[in-house]
Amino acid sequence: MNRSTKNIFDRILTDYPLLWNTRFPQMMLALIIAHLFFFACGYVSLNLAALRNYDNLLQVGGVTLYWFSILCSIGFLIVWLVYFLRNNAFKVYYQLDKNYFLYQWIIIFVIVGGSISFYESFHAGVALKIRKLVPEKILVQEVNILNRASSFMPVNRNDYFSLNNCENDSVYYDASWLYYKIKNNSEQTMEETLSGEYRYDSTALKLIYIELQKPDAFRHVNHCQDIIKLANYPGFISAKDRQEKRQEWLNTERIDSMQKAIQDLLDLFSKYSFRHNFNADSIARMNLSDTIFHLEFFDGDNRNYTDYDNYDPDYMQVENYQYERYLIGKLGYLKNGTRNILNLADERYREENSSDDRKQFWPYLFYIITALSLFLFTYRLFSRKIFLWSIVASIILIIFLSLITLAAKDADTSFPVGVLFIYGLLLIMALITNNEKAGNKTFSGVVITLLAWLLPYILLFVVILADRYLIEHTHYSFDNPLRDQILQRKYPISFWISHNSDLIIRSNLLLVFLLIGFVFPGLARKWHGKAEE
Amino acid sequence: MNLSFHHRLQQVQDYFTQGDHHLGYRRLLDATLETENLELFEDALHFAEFYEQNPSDSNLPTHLGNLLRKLENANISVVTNNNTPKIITEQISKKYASGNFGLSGVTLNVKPGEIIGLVGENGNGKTTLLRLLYGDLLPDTGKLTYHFEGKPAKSDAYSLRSRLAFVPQRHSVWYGGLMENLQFTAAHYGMKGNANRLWTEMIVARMGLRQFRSYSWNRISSGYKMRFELARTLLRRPEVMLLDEPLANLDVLAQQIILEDLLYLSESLSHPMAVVLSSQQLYEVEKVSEKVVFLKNGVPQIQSKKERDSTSKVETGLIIELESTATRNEITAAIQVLQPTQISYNGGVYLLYFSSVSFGEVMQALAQSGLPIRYIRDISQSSRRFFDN
Repeated sequence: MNRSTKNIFDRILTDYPLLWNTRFPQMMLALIIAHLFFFACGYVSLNLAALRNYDNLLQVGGVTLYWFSILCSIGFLIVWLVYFLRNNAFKVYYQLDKNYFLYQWIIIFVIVGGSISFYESFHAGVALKIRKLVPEKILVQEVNILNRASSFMPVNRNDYFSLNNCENDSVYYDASWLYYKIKNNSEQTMEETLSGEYRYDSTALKLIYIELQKPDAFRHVNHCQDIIKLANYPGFISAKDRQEKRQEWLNTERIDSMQKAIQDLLDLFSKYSFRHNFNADSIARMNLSDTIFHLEFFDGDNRNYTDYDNYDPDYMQVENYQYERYLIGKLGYLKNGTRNILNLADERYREENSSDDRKQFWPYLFYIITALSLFLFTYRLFSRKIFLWSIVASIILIIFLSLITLAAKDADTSFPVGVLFIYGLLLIMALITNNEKAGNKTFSGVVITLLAWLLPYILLFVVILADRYLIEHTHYSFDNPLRDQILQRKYPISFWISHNSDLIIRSNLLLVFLLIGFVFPGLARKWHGKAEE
Repeated sequence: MNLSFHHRLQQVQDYFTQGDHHLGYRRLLDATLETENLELFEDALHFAEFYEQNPSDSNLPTHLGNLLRKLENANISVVTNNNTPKIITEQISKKYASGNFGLSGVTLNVKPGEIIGLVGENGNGKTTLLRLLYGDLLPDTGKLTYHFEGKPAKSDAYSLRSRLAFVPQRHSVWYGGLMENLQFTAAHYGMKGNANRLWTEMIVARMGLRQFRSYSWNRISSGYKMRFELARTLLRRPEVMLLDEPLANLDVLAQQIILEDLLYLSESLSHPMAVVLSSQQLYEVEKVSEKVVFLKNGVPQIQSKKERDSTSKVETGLIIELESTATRNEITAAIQVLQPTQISYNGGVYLLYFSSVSFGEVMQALAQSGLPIRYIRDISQSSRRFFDN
């Protein structure tokens, strides 16, 4: 250690003994380096060619990364604990700063949090790289290319169904499902075909059935589909906005325009490393054939079949030669692959409601950090003996609660009720034992420790109970639009709790953090000063 | 200039002049600590380094003289109101829940500047009394009150215990370097930055731990662990020190030094301390203690220094402790003429009881007999007499 570094650590030791004792500076330095390492790994693990391999951010790195980050977390925590669990100023009755415990709690929380979130840094690196590879402006351009060209690339009969709607695609899926049902049971009546289906009464389904019987149920003019819908992006052109121009090109046989649109998409395939030998002109002309089901011109070959060997040709609704099925299948494969890439990028700009929204995961991560930190914090506040007895008591309580739950009629309710009941008992015992000047310190220490350990979950059990209460006390169908209004009027508290569970879960974290930082140290201090007997 | 401080500095000069360098060195550091002046700490540490590297250097008197002159000009904040007891126990008693043992009726005033020695055979309540004073046990009956900085102490048990420095017989393990650990302790007691380093270095030098500064706990011997514990305790600047068997792992010389040091530290002018210590080293403890509490089966007998030093004849008569290779018959024959009331022998030492003779007469009788005498001591006023042979 050089002189200046030693001076810094000496100054930390003399002026900030808690930081020195918890090895906070060293740990933070190590954690920052480790997080940067994971971030960099995430960043370099992806390139333009590799984008096609992932549908989801979390797939990058795979299981190997997952286990590696867990191993790193365990390693960091073990090394830290070797130092952290040593000297303890509190246990030898040193005079302590009034915020000593709060600071210690924060330090533990930060280090534990930093040690178990390497996975997040990796994905932050991946996310940044995706943004780098597909900037927002490029994303909009490429989505527009994909959407525009896709309407001239018939790969799925359902895209051209007469009842298709620009705003939602539910009809699309119903038509697809029903089309096959009709095709496979051509002798059946509508009632027979729909018999046994859960949506038999649906008027919409009947309408689709009737429409499917018509010879012109599938036509170019019906196409109104976005392969990707971008919300709130400037420059995005929706299917509805494109529909008029598309129809004009078809009506006026603007082969060159269609060809240009298709060529743009073929270039996009190439950009994302999808190999193909398609010819834009052939595909464009296909749009002008009598029906989309008689594909006359296709350039290409089947030598690259392995490019999409996971592709299932049966998905195709083209009843033509196998060769054509293959070509159209490949086209669909390329479109889907490109769509996945652009979706992946879209989700990086649209964090909310994305399939890998990490913010949704954070409350769970924070609960894990809180639980682990609480274990360490109570170990620092109490003795090893108390810690071990608390673990034993926890196991006994879990067995006891499990037995009660098994014996009870309603297991979903009895477990949370049991936990809340035990917590109430612990609170009463803590109030009684904590006011004694001397007594069984082991018992009172275990009581306070269990109170701390259970604290993060108490409000969660209240939320569960509120949900259960509403379910048990209502007979209104979920489809009933008045259901919420009735429940809110009859059970306002349960309704509020149930409908604000996200807020409660997040607020609970803050509440627990403050209670542990401010209230529990006071109990521990009183406990520690108490006479043995 | 405080006369008493001046007298202490003169003592330092005398010790060095008379060749008692080690004693002079320790007292010099004590005097420097009295000043609580960081510049003087720096000077004293330079002197300490010079002294430890060149103990016989001809320039030593010059360096010493320079430092003493600076010390003479230093301001000392002498604590004048020094008579309020830090701990007052009134007939406190304790019986363990297990029912095996009980301590009864201890009334004691623990004053700053005084050492109270707790003596007694094993299992007679020394540690129990210390734990009661420390708040680790709650008395069943009686009253226990604390005064710090002249005021009754707060009822907050943790705060109270943070002001009572308790050094248990078995020390808890401290990890890391000794110097770091001591600095860590000092940091909790308001010593920041350079002040922290200087205070710690001074205490380390005072306790003779300079060469072990970078050592870890496991590398030092039991005796030095005790010194380390004392250093750690002194850095807490306690008003009361409670020491459980501090002499247990020390050699004879170290025992004497530690006890003398404790006496000197307790009589500090700027920061007098009350010291309560338990020990089996009866005579050593008696020498420095203002009061000796002899505990037998939990019942205390308290003897003050004044009583011990009294030349008046005690009711028990003359009691002599004697160690000799002579047989019991030979010793009995030698003192027969003095009509001993009782002779007891435990295989190592004899206890000779007389009703109306002087110590000189016994010495004369033994000298005339020509018996080999290894050790002889008048314990008529000593707590030793309470121990069964």
